[in-house]
Amino acid sequence: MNVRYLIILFPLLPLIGISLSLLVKYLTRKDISTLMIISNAVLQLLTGAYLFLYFRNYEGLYVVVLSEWKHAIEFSFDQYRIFFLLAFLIPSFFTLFHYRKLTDFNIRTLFLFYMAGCSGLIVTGDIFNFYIFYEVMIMAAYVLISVNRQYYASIKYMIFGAASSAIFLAGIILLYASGSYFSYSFLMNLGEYNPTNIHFVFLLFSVAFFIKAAFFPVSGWVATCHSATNGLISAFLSSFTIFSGIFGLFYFVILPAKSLGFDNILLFIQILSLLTMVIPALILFFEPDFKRCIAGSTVFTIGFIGLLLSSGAWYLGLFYMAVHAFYKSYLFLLYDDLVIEKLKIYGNIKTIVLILIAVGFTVGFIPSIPYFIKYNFLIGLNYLKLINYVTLALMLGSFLKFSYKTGKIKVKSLSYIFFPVILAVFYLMIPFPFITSGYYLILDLMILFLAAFGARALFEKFDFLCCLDTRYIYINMNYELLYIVILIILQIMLLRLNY
Amino acid sequence: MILLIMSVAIYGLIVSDNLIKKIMCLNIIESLVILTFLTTGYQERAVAPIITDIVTNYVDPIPQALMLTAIVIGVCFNSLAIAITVKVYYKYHTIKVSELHER
Repeated sequence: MNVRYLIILFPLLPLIGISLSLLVKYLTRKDISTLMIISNAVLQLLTGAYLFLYFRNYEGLYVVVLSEWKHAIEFSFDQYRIFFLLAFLIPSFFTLFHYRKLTDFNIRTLFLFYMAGCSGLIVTGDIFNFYIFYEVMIMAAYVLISVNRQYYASIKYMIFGAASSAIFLAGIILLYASGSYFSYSFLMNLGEYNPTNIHFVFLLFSVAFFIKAAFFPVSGWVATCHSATNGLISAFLSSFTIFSGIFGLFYFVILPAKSLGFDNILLFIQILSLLTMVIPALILFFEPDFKRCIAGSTVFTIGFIGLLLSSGAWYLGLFYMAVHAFYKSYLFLLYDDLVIEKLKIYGNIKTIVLILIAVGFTVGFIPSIPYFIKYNFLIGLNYLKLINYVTLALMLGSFLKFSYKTGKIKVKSLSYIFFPVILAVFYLMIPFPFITSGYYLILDLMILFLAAFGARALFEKFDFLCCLDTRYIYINMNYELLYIVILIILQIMLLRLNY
Repeated sequence: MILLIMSVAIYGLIVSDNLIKKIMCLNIIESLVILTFLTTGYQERAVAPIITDIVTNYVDPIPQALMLTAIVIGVCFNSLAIAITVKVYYKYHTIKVSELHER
């Protein structure tokens, strides 16, 4: 089959599903939305698998233009986007086992809208359609977050989403006013054209994507919003939606800034990424809620991926993002099979073992894939190694302060059996040497020992720091919104230094 | 003028305690962004971009087409935000940010 049609078909599949389920509902009063969700997931998995295999060694940008007009709608695909595709396909696969979490017709229809937005984001070829697909995705997500009646989380997500979208739209305007086109092919080779006032466009785009991807200090909403809903939607939000911010940052800021030689912007992203690793890890250490710990740990991963991408380690960063989708989805889905009493977590032995493996991946402990990504990146970067060990200790402590107990608790899901299969596929895909040294292994084991025996005691000794984020840093939503303005001011100061 | 109103709206967004006021401030910011884009396509004595044999001087259609979409998205956001705010009020009996405790 022609890949051109598959690229166009990919976001159309959920839209066809919505149309059919609405049509059948109105004509016959029958609800086929569950069937549509399952068939859409299967078809998207097959289409996605074909696109993955086709583009895994593809050089350059594959562009599909819908008409001959110079501003026509474009779809495109390239080698980097297979990782975003994987980050979307992994939670899509779990939809096949957890679709019962979507309890009624309206929620299922909205979920299909959400899927349409996500899949459109992956294949879109121009920046304005990126904005539109993002809005389709996020509008559905606003409502899906409130399925457990956590309306405050929903409105918080809406306000941050709208603020970032307004900034992004302002950036699109300035981009157009500077004489640029909207297509990815133009933006990726911006160095050849060098449009006027492009540094202000980067300012607006980077701030918009710092909010969307939850870089520190605008990361306070993640724990609240991603932990508010059910496991399946949380898995999608923290595996793909939040990384659409990284997607935008990579395509609209990092790649063009690199081609124009704007090193200060990349340096700013590196500094912000380091802060996004360290401070959220500290906040997480004093977080008493396990689900908020799972949600909050995404921010730490975003920090490290931001650092990798802004340092030029694109494949490592994007591969890390795809692996993150795997373990984060499992953590959220397994959470629903746990019984939690304060700091004690009870579960089936299988659930607890898988949770602990996924925690190992979250913190980047040996022999997880994030460990080897870190090891390959940190060779020769001594100051980063220190930060890595501090964050490793904090992250391990934040999960090991809970005590895990096994018991005869009924396991509801079939997705457990696919854990080793997906894990094996990722290990086979590793695009870098699978190496480590004994010295680092001993250091990691020492940190594990410290975290296992000291984290709980430290957490209880400094109980006044419990809920560090909501108590001291993000006291209410107004403080969080103020941090956006601070980010803009910092970026303007950076630009003044640059010119 | 746009910058001045934008500053007031941003100030309102940050300091306002009321969720409805925050949504209104976001609305103002979005409307100003749309207005700014429309002005980039404006030309003196130009007509609407409906191309015929007589019309030679017409405004740039791109900002108009794109902003129409942005306006639709803005309307969707408003209706959703206000609906969720009503739900927030029913559940927590307040729409003040300072009183809306997260847990």
